[in-house]
Amino acid sequence: MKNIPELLSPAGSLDKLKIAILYGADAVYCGGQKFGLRTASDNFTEAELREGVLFAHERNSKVYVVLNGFLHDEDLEELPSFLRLLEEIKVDAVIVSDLGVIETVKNNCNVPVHLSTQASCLNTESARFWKSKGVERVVLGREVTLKEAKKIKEEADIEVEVFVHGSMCMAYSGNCTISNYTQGRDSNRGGCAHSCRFEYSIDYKGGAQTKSTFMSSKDLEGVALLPEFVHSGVDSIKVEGRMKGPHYAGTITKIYADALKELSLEGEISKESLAYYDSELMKVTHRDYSSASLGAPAGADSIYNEREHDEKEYEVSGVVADLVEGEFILLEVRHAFYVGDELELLPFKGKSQPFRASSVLNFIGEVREKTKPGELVKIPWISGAEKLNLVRRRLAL
Amino acid sequence: MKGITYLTNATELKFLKENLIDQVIIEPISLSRLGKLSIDEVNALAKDASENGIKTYLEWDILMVEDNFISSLEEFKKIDLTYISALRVQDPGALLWCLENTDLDIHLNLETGNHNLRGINSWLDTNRSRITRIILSIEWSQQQLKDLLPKVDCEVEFLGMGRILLFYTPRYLLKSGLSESEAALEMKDTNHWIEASGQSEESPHKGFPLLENKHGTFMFLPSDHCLLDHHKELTDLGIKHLRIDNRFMDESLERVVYQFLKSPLEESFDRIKELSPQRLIRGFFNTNKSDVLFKKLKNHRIQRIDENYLGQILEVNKKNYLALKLKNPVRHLTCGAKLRLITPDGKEKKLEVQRLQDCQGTDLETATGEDLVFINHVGGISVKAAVYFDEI
Repeated sequence: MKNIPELLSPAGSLDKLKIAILYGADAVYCGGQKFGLRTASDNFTEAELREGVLFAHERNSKVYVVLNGFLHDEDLEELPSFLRLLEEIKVDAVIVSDLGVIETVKNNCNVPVHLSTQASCLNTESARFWKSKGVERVVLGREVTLKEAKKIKEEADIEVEVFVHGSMCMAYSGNCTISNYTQGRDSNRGGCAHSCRFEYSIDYKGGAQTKSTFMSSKDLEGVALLPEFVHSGVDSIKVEGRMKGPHYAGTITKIYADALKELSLEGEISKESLAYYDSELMKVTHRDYSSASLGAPAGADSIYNEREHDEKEYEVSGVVADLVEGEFILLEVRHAFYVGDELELLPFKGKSQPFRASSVLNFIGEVREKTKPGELVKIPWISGAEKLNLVRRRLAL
Repeated sequence: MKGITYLTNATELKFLKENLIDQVIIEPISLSRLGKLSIDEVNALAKDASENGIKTYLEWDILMVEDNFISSLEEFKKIDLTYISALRVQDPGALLWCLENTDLDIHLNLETGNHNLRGINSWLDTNRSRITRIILSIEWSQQQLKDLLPKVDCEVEFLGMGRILLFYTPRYLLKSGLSESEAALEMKDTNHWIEASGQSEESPHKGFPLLENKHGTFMFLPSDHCLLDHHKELTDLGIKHLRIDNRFMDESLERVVYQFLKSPLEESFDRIKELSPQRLIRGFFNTNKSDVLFKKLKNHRIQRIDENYLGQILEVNKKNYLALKLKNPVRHLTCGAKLRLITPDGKEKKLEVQRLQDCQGTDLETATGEDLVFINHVGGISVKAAVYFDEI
């Protein structure tokens, strides 16, 4: 099948960038220490950006850097030197939502500009407007259907990127200032406090009363709609989630990369594969899935009527930090597990491999009955393991 | 500085005229976020206003996905533009369409974001002769406005008094929480117009006004924005138009507000405070420090900051070893190297590398790139400590 879109994954840190690329991302997006919308994320220092771009380009992947805050004049003063760095290290594009930032980019470097979803580009005329300002790609608002995305791409003659997976703003992106006024944190410069996820008591004027998380959106999930993404001709499909962990970055990227590959080779995604991808998606912490507005405008069933909780089916036990082929894997433990626990290795290619951690030793050979987050342990060799593979564990629910 | 407000019915015209308001915004239900007027009502009101010497501006401020944009155009084309003096738009698609398909002045709503001069000028450069007014965000502080406005070659409108919009979604969030019969009761007076108030135990603010209509759901702050007592400063800053959002005011309050605009006396401002349905605040007018908390959102001590950065401690095994993940592709680590380690809580320790091993325990002469190595332990170090070559 032709026109397979680029798979664009989140990279909240250098580790996550590498994991996403190794698990199949065609491109990743990440932020520097300023100018983006994820201030609390690790983000990248200059050295990490250099290393990340090099790592990506060596593997034919691209790196886009987000500069999508609604920047104030004083923020813009520091931007030109950062832009020159991005050009020097050959970043593939910057993702921008503010016209002042676009102007600053255009005046200081030749890095292509993608319009962030934060600018809520929703229609053809809007895409034409942004194109006239020098934008090469628009990341459409998450309210746009795939049918509309197709029309926008064709009629505005511009590259189009559409979200395929991840958390959703309930508001039109860029049109929420709850944090600004209630927490003193500018949500459009990276300080979003996620007030939309709170539970609210609602008193209706007519007398009805309810209590719910009425402003909380279910997560977007579009694996079953991938053939329609391809049909729409969109250039890139994007996974949300720079704040999320390596398990998310690796697993979600792998699912979509495998599904796109199947679509490319077979022209369709089989029912069996779809069931497998769905089961894999369920292993990642999420808020219930919805196709949101991909097919038709999101309805009442897109509201996540639960308070945030930490219940999850799987957690990442560790990341392969080093290995000696045929002998052992050195695992950097992220969540504790016991000797004998059933674990799964998630290889870069192919299905997950279940195994039992029959022995666990630390670096100096001491037996560990229970591991602790932050320690490095040796577990027996698993065929096919590679550095930065994820190892996960099913939790008892 | 001139006042501007919303016109919702013909009986208000005389009242507005008496109060020296000579420019109004009219909002068709199909094009405006909070509009309640049919196209026929818009056409009739615009004509009446014009005959009364009041300029009428048409509000087209909804955001539109492609299908909505097409249906909105159909509605727009039914409006008699003869009596409309300007079009007020926010969606860039609406802006472009209006520039290409009408010859009316444009009042461009830049209230969402747009906090820098360069961006504002770029919006204006789209068509400087047609964009005759911009409406700025109330997140601009007084000082920022003072710096900005002398450099902006366009008339500026600012919210003088009214609700503060926090949230705008096309999804129907209020109706969805009700049964069919409850929803029917809540919407009985108008076509899809539900009002409510919300509060959360997780927020110190109570009574967020909520509104759902055909365009989606809106949430407002439980306090209203009011800069009427800064009338003179706003004039001195160069604000030409002060918007009074009367859509949630009763007539007695509106009357006192217009009286204050004509003659700003302290006692009438006290009366405004008394009559206001919500507490009045100045928002970010005095200062906007909504980014100062950012530095507290993460630990900057563990970030790599210079060329002497070597890597990060992955594991600490007390009295035995430190596991060090090298992250400097250029520099080599050898035995004897002097290191400086900075823990996440800011403690600094020094260490001379006396032992350097790989994961098999094999002694190494040198390590580089992304190697994971094990070195001798030093007390007081924790995981995620940043490691630097100790060089001047």
